[in-house]
Amino acid sequence: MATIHLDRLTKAYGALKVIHGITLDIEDGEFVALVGPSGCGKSTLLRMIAGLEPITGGEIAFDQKRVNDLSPSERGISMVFQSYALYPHLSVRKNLSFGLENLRMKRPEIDARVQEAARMLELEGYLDRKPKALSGGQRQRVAIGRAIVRQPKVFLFDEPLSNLDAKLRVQTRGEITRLHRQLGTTMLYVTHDQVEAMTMAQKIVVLNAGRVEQVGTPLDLFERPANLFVAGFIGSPRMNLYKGTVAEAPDGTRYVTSPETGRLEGHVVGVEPGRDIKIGIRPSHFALGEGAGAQWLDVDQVESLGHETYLHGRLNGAATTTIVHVQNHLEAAIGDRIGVVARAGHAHLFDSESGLRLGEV
Amino acid sequence: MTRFLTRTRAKGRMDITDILTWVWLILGTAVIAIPIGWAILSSVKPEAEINSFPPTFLPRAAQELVIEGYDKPLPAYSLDEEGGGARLVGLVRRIGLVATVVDPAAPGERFKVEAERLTKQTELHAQWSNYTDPLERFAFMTYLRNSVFVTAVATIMTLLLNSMAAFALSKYRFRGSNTIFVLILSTLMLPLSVIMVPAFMVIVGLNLADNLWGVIFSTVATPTGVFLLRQYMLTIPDDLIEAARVDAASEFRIYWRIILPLSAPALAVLAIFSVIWRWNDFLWPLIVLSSPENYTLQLGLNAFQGQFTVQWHYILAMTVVALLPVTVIFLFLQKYITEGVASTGVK
Amino acid sequence: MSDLSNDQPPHGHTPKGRKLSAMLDRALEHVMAVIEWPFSLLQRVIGLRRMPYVFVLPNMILFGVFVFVPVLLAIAYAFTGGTNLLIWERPFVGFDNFARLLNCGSFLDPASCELDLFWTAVFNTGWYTVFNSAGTLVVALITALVLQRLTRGKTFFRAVFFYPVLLSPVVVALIWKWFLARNGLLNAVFADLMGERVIFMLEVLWSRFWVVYVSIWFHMGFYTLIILAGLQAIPRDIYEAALIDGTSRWRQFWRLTLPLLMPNLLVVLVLLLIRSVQAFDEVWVLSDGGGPGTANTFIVQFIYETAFATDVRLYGLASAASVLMGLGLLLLTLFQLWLAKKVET
Repeated sequence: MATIHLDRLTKAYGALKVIHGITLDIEDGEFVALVGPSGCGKSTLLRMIAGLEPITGGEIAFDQKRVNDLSPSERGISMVFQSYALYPHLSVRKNLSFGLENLRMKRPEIDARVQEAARMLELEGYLDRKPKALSGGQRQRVAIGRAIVRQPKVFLFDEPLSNLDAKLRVQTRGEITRLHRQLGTTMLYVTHDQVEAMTMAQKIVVLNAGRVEQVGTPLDLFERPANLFVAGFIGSPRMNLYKGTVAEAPDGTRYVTSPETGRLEGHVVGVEPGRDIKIGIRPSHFALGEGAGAQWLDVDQVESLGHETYLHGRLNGAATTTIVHVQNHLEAAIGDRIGVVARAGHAHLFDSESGLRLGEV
Repeated sequence: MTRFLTRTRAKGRMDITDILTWVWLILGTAVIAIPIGWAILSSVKPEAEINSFPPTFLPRAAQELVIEGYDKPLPAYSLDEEGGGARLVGLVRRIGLVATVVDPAAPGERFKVEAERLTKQTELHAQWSNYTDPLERFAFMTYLRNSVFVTAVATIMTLLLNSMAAFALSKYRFRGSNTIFVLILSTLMLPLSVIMVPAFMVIVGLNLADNLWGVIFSTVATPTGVFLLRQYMLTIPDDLIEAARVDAASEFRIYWRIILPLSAPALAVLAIFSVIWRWNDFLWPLIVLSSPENYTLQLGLNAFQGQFTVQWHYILAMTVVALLPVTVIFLFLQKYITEGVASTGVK
Repeated sequence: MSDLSNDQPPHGHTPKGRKLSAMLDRALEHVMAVIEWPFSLLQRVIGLRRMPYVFVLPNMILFGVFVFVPVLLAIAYAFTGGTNLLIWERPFVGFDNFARLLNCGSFLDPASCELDLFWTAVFNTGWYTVFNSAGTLVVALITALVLQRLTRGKTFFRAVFFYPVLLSPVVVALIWKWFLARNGLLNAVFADLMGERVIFMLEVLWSRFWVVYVSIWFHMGFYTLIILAGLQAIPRDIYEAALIDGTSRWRQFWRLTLPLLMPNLLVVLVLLLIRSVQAFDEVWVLSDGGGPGTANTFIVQFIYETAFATDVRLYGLASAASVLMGLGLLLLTLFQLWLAKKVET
C-alpha cells in the first residue's frame, strides 16, 4: 500500500520531449486510470513510475520517499503488460513463482502464495501448463496472478485488456475491480479506452500530448469536462459541439445561441456578450419533444440497438452532424424531421480559443 | 517407385528434363557415395586382402576349417572332383604341384591331389582389429581423447561466451555497442591463414603453445556465433525482460533463466556447428600442437598416414572413426543443419 | 471464464516425475546461485546500465587477444626480419620481405623469381581458383536447379549432396587417396579398360585434376544450399505467369531464373574465389604436401611451411606473403560488399 506523488515529471528522448512536467497525487488504495489517445505518453508515464524508463526530470515518490533511482523490484511495484509478457518456456506455476524465487523466499511460502493466487484467479487446474496451452483469458489471469503473488505496494496495468475479445473484456473489467476491492492496493491503470476508465477507476487522469488535461472522478469528467479535449474524449458517442455566441436580451439577461441549438437560457458568469463560444451537448442530453425550445432534427441515419436508438442528423438544417441518443426503440426513418429539446443545465460552454470550460446552461 | 520417380514438378508424363533430373541425382549420389562407401568397406578388410589387386568388393578373408586331430585350423580349399562337382577339403601341406589334403568328413584319412584342382575358399569377414589395434597399439586413443576434450570444452565455452555477448548486443543499448558489433562482423570474413604467424606468437606469449587450451581459447570467440545468436535474440520480446526486471530478477538471472532457454533453437544450431568445426579443425591445431601426445584425431591421422603409408587398413579404420561423430550428428539433425546453413550462410 | 477445457486434469508429468524434475530444478538453482552471486554483486556495485559491458567482456577479451591483436601484428611482422618469433626481438627491415617476394625477372615465369616457390604457389593457386570456382559454381547451380524441381525426396537428396561438406579435410583427403591409390577402386576400373594402372597423384596433370575434382566434391553441397535458398526466394507466380504466356522451359531458365538468381550467384562466386585462394588442408593431405614436386603447392602452404615447417623459420617473409594474400582477399571482400549494395538498389 502506498501513496504516489509525481512532481513536475518530465521525459525526453534527446530533443524530443514526451512528458511535459506532470504533477499528480494518488491516494493510498486508490484505483486510478490514466487515459488518453495513443501517443499521449500514458504508457511512458506508467513505465517511468514502474522504473523501466529513466526519468529526465522531476521526482517520483512512493509514501513520500523518492524512488527515482530505485529498480522496479526495489520500488515494490508489479506490473501487468499489454502483451502479458508471460515466460513462454515456464509453466504457469513457474511463471507465478519466478519473482518470488528471485527474492529468495522460502519454498513453503512461495508454494502458499502461488496456491492462493491460483485459487483467487481460478487457475488451480492449469498450474502445470505452459502459457501456449492457455486461452487468452487464462493468460491474462496468469499475468495478473504474477503481479499478485509478490504482494506489491502498487499495481501497474498497461492496457491489460486490449488483447481480449469484447465479451471477455467486460468480464475481466469486473474481475479487476473486484480484485481491487479485495486487496485494497493502489492501482494504476493505463488504457486508451475511456469506457474502461469510466467503469473501473475511482479517479481518472486524462492525458494529452504529454500533459494532464484533467483529473477527477468519472462523474466529474462526464459532467464537468475541464476543456474541449476532455469533453470530446470522455463519453460515447462523442459530445455534439456547436459554434455559438453569447447574447444579451433587451432586458439585460444573457443567453447563448447557435443555429443548431437555438436560444439557450441560463446564467453565464463572467462571459461578456458577443463572445464566440463552443456549445457542447451530449447525445443523451437531448429529449424528444415538440414543445417550447424544440429544435428540428433532419434524420440522416438511424442506429437501432433495440433498447436504445441513435439518431444521426442535422439540427435546424445546419451543416454540423448531431447525434441524439433515445432510450428504447424509436421508429424513425431517414428523412424524418423530429423535434428534440436540449435538457436544461446540460449544455456545456467552452471558450472558442483556449478550449477551457466556461460553465453550463 | 515409378510413381515416386515421375513425381517432379509437372505431374503426368516424364519428359526429357525429368529424365535428366534423375540421371543427375542418381549419378551425383553415386559419385558422393562410392568413395565414402569404398573407404568404409575397405576399413574392415584384413591387411592381406586390402593390398590385393584387383580388389574384391566385400571384405573377405581366407576360410579355415577346424578338423579333428589337427592343432591349428586348416585353410579351406574346394577340390574339383574328377567326375565333376566339388567338395570342401582342408590343406595339410603342399609341395610343388602336389598337395596333401584332408576331408573334414573323414578326418583320419589324408590323400594327395594335384594342386591345380584346388581353389582357395574365402568367406565374408570383418576385420575389427583394424579398429581396435590403432586404439591400443598406437596413440589413437590419446588423439581421440584430445579431440573429444577440445570439441566439448570449446563448444561449451563458445555457447556461453557468445550468448552472453549476443545478449548484451541485442537487448541493451549502450555506448560502444554498435562499434563492437561492427568490429565482430568485420572479422567474419577474416581467414586464419592471414593472421597465422601473429596468432601463433600470441599463443607462445601466453605460454599456450603445444597445449590444447591454446587450440580452445583462440576458437571460442567466433563472430559467426555472436551474429547468429544476436539475430535470434532480437526476436525475443523486450517485454519479457522488463517483466523479469519487475519480478526482481538480476540481469544475469534474466540471461540465464529467460534469454538462454528461449534461445534454445539458435543455441542448438551453434552447438552443432561448433562441434563440427572443432572436430574437423586442422590447420590451427597443426600450428599450435607439436608433440604427438597433444595431437587431435585429425592431426594424428595425418601424421600416421604420412608415417605408415602402407598401413591402409589402419588408416581407413581411423578415417571412419573420424567421420563417425559428424555423420551421426548429421543423420539425426540433418534438417537443423541444412536449414541453418541456408538461412545463415555459414559453414 | 471461457476456458479451453475446465475439467481436464493438468497434463504433463506424473507426480513422481514431477518430484524428480523439481529436485533437479532446485539443485540447479543452488548451483546457479553460486555463479550468480558475483554477477548480482557486480550489478549492485556498477548499476544495471553497465551490466552489458560485463556480458560482452569475456568474449571481447578472447576476441581482442586472438583476433584483433594478431590482425594488427600481422602487418608489423611483415616489416621485420630474423628468425625470432617474439615481435619485440625482431629487427625492422622495411620492405625487404616484400622486395624479396616480388623480386622476379618476369612475373609470368616463376623460375625467374628469387622465391620461385612463392610464385609457383601463386600460379598454382590462380589456376586452382579459376577451375575450382567455375566448376563448383556450375555443378552447384545444376544441382540446385535439379533439387528445386523435386517435390518428393528433396530433403533426402539435399542431405546426400550436403553430407561431404561436414567431413573433415583430412578425412576427405584420405578417402580420396585410397580411392585413387595404386590398388584403389578407380585403378581397378582403369586396369580393366586401359590395361594399365595410373598412379594418379604422381602425375602432374592427373593430380591437378583430382585436386580440383575433390575440392568440388567436398564443398559443392554448401554452395548448392545457398543457391537453392536463392531459388526458393523467387516468387512462384512469375513462373505461373510465364506458363500462361506459353514460355518454354529453356527460355524460362535463361530469361527468368538466371537473371533473378544473378545476385545470389555473384555472391556465391565471390565467396568461392575467396575460399579457393585460401585452400590448403585437403589439398595438402591429398597431394602429400603439394606434390608431385610443387605441382599442387598453394599460397597458404607456402606461408605455413615458411613460418612453421622449416628449420629456419622466416616469420617475416611468411607474414609478408600473408599480407599480400590478405590484400587480395580484402579486395575480393570489398568487391562483394560493393556488389551486394549494387544488387540491393
